[in-house]
Amino acid sequence: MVAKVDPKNIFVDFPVNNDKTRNFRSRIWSIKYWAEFMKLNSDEVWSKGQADLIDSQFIKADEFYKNLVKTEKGREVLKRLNEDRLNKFKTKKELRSLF
Amino acid sequence: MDYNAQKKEIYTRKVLNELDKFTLEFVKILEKFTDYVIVSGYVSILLGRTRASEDVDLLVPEMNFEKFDEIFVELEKNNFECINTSISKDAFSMLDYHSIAFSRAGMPVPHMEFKKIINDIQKEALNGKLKVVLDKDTTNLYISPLELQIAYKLSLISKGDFEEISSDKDFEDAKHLYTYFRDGLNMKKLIYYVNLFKVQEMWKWLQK
Repeated sequence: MVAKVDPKNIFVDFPVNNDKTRNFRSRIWSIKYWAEFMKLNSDEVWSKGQADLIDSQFIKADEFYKNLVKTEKGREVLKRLNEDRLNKFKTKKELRSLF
Repeated sequence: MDYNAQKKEIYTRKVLNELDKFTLEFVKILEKFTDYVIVSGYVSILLGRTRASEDVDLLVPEMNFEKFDEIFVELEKNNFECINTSISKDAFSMLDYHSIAFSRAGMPVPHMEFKKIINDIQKEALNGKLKVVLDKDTTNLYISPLELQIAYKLSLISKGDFEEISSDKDFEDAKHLYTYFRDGLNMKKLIYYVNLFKVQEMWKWLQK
């Protein structure tokens, strides 16, 4: 049995000035709703939903990379993606002052 | 999910997702050789946040090349590869300048961002680490203290006004941890980190 969160109990006191801040308030509302859902339900229940969401993204990524290596053009794209990834590590250097 | 702040343990019976499985697989090899602590976005994901990530950030203490090489070789034996280079000596040198990444061979995502501890905050993350006990696995995961993690996430956000922070996943990660674990957090410690990182403005928004 999955316990439901009463949406009336979820409140976010953020200003809404435009679409961007409206979207942000909605996302923060969803995060609070989800945290409450986690508290009301067993780990098995909430984590099943989380795993479905995360796993589907990795399945798509896996298909994407497998398709790329099939063609010459795809392999070139893959090479560029890998180069971008390596550059990312170098540019993240400035963040190392903390983590 | 139960958090015991005194024992520095979180116990969960969560269903493992692909990112959890990848991290456990990597850590099972790593922990034979060295201590480590997981920081940043994956901490929120491990503890329930509903988003994926391409990478998992992991800090390790300073080590000599011989030990690093042993880890490198063992990872390769277990179907991991270093994205940056296949030469362990080069990878070891890179650690002085930036993180290096390991993924499963032939598949660049997800990957483990492997970083050497170089400052006091990172040492604090390692020394105060929390053990996450996963019910269906014999391996535990070690993560940064939640208070440090929340304040750190706030520090990554642009220092601008509310509009500027309003597209930020780091704020959302901090919000998730704060909302779920609020009753178990050491507020004194959290405020200490908020002041240390000078994120008082973000902290006000986080509590709303």
